[in-house]
Amino acid sequence: MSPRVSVLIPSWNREEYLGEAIESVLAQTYRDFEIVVVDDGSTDGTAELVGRYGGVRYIWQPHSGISAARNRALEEARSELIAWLDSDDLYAPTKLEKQVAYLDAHPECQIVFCLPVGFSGIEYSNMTPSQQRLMDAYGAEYKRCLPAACIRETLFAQQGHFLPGYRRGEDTEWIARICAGGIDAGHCLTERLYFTRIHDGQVSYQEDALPKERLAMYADAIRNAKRGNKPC
Amino acid sequence: MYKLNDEKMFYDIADGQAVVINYVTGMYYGTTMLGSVVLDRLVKGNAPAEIAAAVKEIPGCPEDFAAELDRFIGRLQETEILVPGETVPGGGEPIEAKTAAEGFTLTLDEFAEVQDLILADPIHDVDVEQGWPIFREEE
Repeated sequence: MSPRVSVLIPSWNREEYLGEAIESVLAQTYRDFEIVVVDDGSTDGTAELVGRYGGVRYIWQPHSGISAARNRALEEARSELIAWLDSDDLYAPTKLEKQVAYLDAHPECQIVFCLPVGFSGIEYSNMTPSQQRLMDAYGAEYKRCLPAACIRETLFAQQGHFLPGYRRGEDTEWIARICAGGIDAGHCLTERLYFTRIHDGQVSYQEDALPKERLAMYADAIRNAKRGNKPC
Repeated sequence: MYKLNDEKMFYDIADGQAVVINYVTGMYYGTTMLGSVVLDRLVKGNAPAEIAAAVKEIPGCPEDFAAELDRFIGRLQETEILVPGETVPGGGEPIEAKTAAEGFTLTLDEFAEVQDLILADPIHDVDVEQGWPIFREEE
């Protein structure tokens, strides 16, 4: 019998943080889950690291980018509920328990978020302005963070997977697409159950998208939703 | 003539479908395929008379299309998508007849579904004074 939740962890050269991410899932109070790590062609010790954790499914693919890694993870998932975890982030111990309970209590809900919170080994005063901005944003009530969500698998079947053209922001495009497609993405637990690590070398600010690029991505998402262009 | 109000609006057209995002309010706007062609020419600064002449070449175009275009421009100004700008020659280039498959009514539809997402996007801040294209770290 398939587990109820697939926790999907796309990863690329994140040996340094991946172990902590996996352990935060293994420490969940809710137990009916599988963990799938999609290694997007890492050249560090990712494979050996994952091998130390019994029961974690390890999928390797040549480096193809974050969208391809997410899509591969979706293909491998066997569960009715999907929860993403970025390989440098952490779950609070009750994240899955609370989100599964919410989805069970709200059958009409297809995606439920929780609030994220930033954390870092870097002192706030030593952060770059970009890092500080992310830290502040995650300290506010940001309710549309993909890995902070638990999602019915059917939503991906209905709304499509991730667009391969994006090197970053693919998660935001997907959420924008489902919102523009009329999905209610307003379900959000008020607790902070997802921890976003702010560190050097993070894609979202190492290669920060120009604002106009970001807006163009929203425009693409809107167009894709309106014309029913649902990549799979 | 007109230009995009780029202090608060982002405009993009792809596959013949225009989208305008107000990055200050998070609202976005869409129109028909014909509306997209017309809007694209308006934001380029082309004269409405030139644009209307091109549309009138499409079989089935109503005689009073210029009035429809005026209404559309009025709506684009009301929503602050267009502001006065310089005239740029052009706008009379032929338009494919299939562009008007949905008819000659120029609608402007307003949506709020991604408003929360855009306004709360942690990657970039909205600066009400200067607009989203100003990236604070680079100021």
